[in-house]
Amino acid sequence: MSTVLDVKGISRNFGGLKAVDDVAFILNNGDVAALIGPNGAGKTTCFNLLSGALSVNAGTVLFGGHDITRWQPHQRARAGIGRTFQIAATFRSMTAIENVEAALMAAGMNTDTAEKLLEDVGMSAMTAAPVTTLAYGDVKRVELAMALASEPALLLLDEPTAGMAAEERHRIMQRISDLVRARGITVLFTEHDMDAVFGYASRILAMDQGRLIADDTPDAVRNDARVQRVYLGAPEDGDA
Amino acid sequence: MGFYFAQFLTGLASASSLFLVAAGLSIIFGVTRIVNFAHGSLFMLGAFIAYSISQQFGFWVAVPLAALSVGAIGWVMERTVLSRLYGAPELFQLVATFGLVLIVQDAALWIWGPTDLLGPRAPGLTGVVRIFDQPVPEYDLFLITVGFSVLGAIWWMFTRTRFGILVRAATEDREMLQALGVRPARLFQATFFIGAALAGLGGALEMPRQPVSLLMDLNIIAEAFVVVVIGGMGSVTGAFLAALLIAELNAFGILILPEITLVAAFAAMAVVLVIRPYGLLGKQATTAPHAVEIQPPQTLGEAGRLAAAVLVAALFVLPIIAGDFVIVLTADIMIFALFAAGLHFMMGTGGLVSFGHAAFFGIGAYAAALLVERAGIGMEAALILAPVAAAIGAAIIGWFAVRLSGVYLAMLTLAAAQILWSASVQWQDITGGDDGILGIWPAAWASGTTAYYYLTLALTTVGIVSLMMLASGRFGILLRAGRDAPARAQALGIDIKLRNWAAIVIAGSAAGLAGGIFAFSKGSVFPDTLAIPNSVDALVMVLLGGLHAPAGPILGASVFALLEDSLSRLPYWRALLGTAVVGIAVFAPGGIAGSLSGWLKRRRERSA
Amino acid sequence: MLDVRNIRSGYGKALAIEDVTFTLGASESLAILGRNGAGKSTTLKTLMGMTPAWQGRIGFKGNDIVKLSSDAIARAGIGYVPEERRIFESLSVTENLQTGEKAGASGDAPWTVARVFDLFPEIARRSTAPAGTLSGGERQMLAVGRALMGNPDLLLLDEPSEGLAPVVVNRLGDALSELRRAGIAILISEQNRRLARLAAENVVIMETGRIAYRGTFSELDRNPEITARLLGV
Repeated sequence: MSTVLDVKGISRNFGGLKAVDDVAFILNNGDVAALIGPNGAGKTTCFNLLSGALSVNAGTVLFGGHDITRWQPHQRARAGIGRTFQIAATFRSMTAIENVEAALMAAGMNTDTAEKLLEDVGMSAMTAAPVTTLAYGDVKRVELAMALASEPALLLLDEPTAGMAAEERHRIMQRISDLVRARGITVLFTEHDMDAVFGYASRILAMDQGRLIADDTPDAVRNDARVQRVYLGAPEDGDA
Repeated sequence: MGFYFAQFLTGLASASSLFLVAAGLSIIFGVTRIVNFAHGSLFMLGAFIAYSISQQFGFWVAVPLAALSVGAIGWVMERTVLSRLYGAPELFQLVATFGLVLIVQDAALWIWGPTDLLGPRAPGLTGVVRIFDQPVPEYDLFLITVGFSVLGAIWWMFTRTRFGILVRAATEDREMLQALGVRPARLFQATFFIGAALAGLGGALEMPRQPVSLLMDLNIIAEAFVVVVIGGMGSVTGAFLAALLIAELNAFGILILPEITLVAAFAAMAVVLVIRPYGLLGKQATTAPHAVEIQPPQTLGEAGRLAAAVLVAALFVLPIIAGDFVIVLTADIMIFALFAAGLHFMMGTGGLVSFGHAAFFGIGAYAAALLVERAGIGMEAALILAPVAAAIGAAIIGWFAVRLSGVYLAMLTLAAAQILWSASVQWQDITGGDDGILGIWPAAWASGTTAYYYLTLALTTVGIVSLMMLASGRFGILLRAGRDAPARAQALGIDIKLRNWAAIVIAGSAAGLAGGIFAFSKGSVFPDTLAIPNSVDALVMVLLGGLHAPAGPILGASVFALLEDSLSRLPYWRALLGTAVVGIAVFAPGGIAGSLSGWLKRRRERSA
Repeated sequence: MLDVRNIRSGYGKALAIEDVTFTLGASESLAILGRNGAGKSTTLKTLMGMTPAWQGRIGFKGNDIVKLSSDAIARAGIGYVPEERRIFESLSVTENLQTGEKAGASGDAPWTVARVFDLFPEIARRSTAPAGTLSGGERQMLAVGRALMGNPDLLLLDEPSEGLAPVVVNRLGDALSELRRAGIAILISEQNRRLARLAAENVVIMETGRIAYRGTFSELDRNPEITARLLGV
C-alpha cells in the first residue's frame, strides 16, 4: 500500500475562528475514507484546503510525494486530484456531453471518451440534454463524470448524495464505489447520510470544532464515545 | 512641516466631496446592486441647481435645497427607469444608467447653456486661517467638517435606525429581506433619494472651488468608481478611507511630479486590489451575481454561414455601386464591428465586462499615429504594431482585471481607460493634447477611399472571423467553462486567470487593430478615441446586437452607426441616443439578433 | 386559516409541484415529508410567493394570496424560515432579529428580541456577535427567531434539521413544540421524522411533486409499508 495523500498538521483560521486546527492524516492507495462531523466542524474547509480552493495558515500537504501546499487548484487538478462540490457545479451553458468534453479538454485528453464516461455514471440516455434541464441527481452524475474525466488518483467528493432520494443515494454510492474500485482511485468523501458513510467507507475520519477526533475503521468509529457525543448523539436518542 | 500639514488639509477638503459622491454610489449599489453611472450626473446637477438657487437666495439656502432637489431627481430616476431593471443583468443596468448620463447632459446644456458658470463663494467662509503659519482656506476646513459629519451621520443611521439595519440587510440578501415583510420598492426609493442627495450635496459644495461645467459628471464618476472599488462596494467607511487616500495622493503627488496624479489613482487601486480583491472593507458577495446572463451560445448554422458569405460578397462589390459617403460609412461600420467583436468575445464567451474598452482602441490608434508621426515608420508596420501595443496595454490592465469579477472588473477597466484619456489630454508634448495628432495617412497603395475600404474589409473580416473561430473552438469552450462555474473549472485543471487574461489580451488587440485602421482612415487621432463615450458605444453595439449571437457585433455596429449617423443631425441628439439606449436595455435585453432569433424560433415552433 | 388548492408551480419550464391541495386550521400543525426533490421546498416557496404559482389558489385567513409578493404575504402573517437559513451574516444577532420586525407593529406585539432570547438562550449569549460567526444550530435558531419577530400566525419551516447534529435537532424540536403550545400554526417540511413529529400532528407525504399520502403520524406508524414505499426508510 502506497501513500497517496499525506496531510501534516494543516490549520486554517477565519478571523478568530479555527475552522481547521492541526489536522493530520494519511490516505493510502485504494482507501475509501469518509470525513464526518457536525456542521461547522471544518469538513468543507478541510476539503477546500486539500483541493486548493483555500490556502492553509500552517501545515503541509503532500500528494504522491510532492509538496502541493502552495499549489493553485488547477495545478492540483492537473496533478491528479479530482473533486465534486456540495452543490453540484456544472457548466450551465452546455449540454451534458459538452460538459464532459470540456472536462476532457481541460485535462488535455481526447474528447471521444465523453460518451463512455456518461455511460459509466448512468447518463447515457441524456447526453444531449442541456444541464439546466436535468434533475438534480442527474446533474450530480454529470459532475461525477467530469471529475472522473482526468483519471484522477484521488477523488474528493463533498456530500455526494446530498439532494438525492434515499434509494437514489444508495445507487449513486454503489456506482461510485464500483467506479473507484475498478479504476483504483483513492476517495475521500464527506457525508451526512450515515447509511452512505457506514455502508461504503473503509475508513472514517471524524472532525469536531476543527480538530480530527477519530481516524479508524467504521466499527471502531461507531463505538467511539467521543464521536457519539459530538455527532451521533447518545445511543438512546440515536436517529430513527 | 506647516506646509505639509496645509497640503494635508487641502487633500482632506478634496476628499470630502469625493466621499459624498462615492458614499452615495456605494449605498445605492449595496441595496439595489445597480452601479449608477448617472451618479456623476447627479453630482453635476447638484452644482447647477445650487448655482441657480444661489442667484436668488444665496449660497447657504442653495446648498441644502440643491441636495434635496437632486435627491428628488434620483428618486424619479429610480421610479421611471431603474426600477424596471432590477431583474436585468448588471450590464444592462450599467448601460441604461449611461443612457441617463446622456439625457442629463443634454438637459443641462438646454437649461444652463454651454458656458462654465462661476458660483458664489460661501458667505462667512471666504477668508483663510493660519495653521502652522500656512494659509488654509476657511472653506476647506468647513468641507472637512462636513465630510466627517456626514460619515458620522451615515454611521449613526446604519447602526441605530431600523432603516439603516434594513439597508445593510438588503446589501446582503434582498430576497430574504422581502420575505420578512419589508417592501423592497420603498427601501430602494429611500436609498436612491439619500444616495442622490449626497451626490447633490457634494456637487453643490464644489461651487466655490471649481466652475460649474458640463464636464463635471464624467470627471467625478471615474474618480468615484476608483474610490468605491478601493473602499469596497457597499462599504461607506471604505469609501471614506479610499476618498482620503486618493485625495491625499493627489495633494502630495502634485508636489513631486504633476503628471503623477494621473497614474496615482490607478496605481493605488491596482495595489489595493492585488492585496484585497474586494477593496479595503468590501466583502465577496455571497451569491456572486453574473454580469451577463448565462445562455448557450447561438451557433451560426448553415444559413448563418451562407448569410456571412453573401455579406462579404456584397461588401466586396459595394464600391462599384455606391458613392464615397456610403463607402466611408460602411468602412466605419466594419471598424466598429471589429472593435465590438473583441468586446463581444470577452463579454459573451468570457463573461468579462469591460467598461473601458476604448482604452485598447485608443492605444491602437495612438500607437499607429505616434509610430508614423514620431518614429517615421510606414502604415503597414504601424497596422501590425497597433494591435501589439494594445495587447501590451491589455496585458497590463488585464493582469489586474483578472483578479476581479463582475462590476469590479468593469469599473477597473473604466478607470484605466479614463486615466489613459487624461494622459492623452494632458501630455501635450507627446499626444498633442486636445489638438490630437494630424496627418496620419495610409501608404500610397492604400490611399483613396476605395483602396482603403478594401484594406479595411480584409483586415476586419480576418479579425472578426478569427474571433468567431476562437469563441467556438477549444479556447472558447474552456473560457466559457470558467465563466459558467469558476470553481468547477479550476478543479478540472483550467487556469482561469490565465485564460481570462488571454481573452482580454485578444479582445484588446482586436480593438487595437480597429483603432489603428481608424487612425489611418481619418488621418488623425484625438483623445475622444479613449473617452468613456467611445467605451459605451462599443458596449451598446454589443448589447444591441445580442450577447450570445455570433453575428451580434456586426448587426449591432451597423444599427448603431446608422442610428448615430441619422440622430447626430438633430439638436440634442445625445438625449435621443440616451433614450434609445435606455429603451434597448429595458425592452430588448436580448439585442436585435437575440430578439430576431427568438422570433424566428417561435415562428418555427408554431408552424411545426 | 390556510387553504391551498390545486397549486402547480416550478422553475423556468420545469414543473416541480402539481395538484397540491391541503388545509391547515388556526393553531394546527402539518408536516410535509418526502424525499429530496419531492417538491417540499417548492411548496413552501410557492406559499411564500417566492416561486410564482402557475395555477391554483392559496387562501390565507380568507384572502387569496396567490398573486401577492412575498413581502405582502409576510405582512399578512406568514413567517418563513428558509432551508439555507439565509441569516444576514454581517449584522449582529440582535440586528438580524430586528429585520424581522414588521414596520408599524404595535407596542403590544408578543414577540420581542427579549422573548426570542428566552426561547433560544444559545443565541442570547451572542447577541452582539456578527451572525456570520454562528454555528449551524445557532443560525437555525436565529432564522426561526427572526421569523417569529414578525408575529406570524403561521410559521413555514423548510427542512430545519438539515445539516444539524442530532443533539441540536432535539433542541430545535423542543422549541417548536413550545411554539405550538403558544398557538402558532406550523407547516414544516422535513426528512427527519423525529423533528417533524415534535413539530406537527398531521402529515402529508409528497412524491415527485404530488401529495401521495395524508394522515396523522400515529396512522403512519401503524402502516410501515407506506413509509417504506414513499420515504424509502
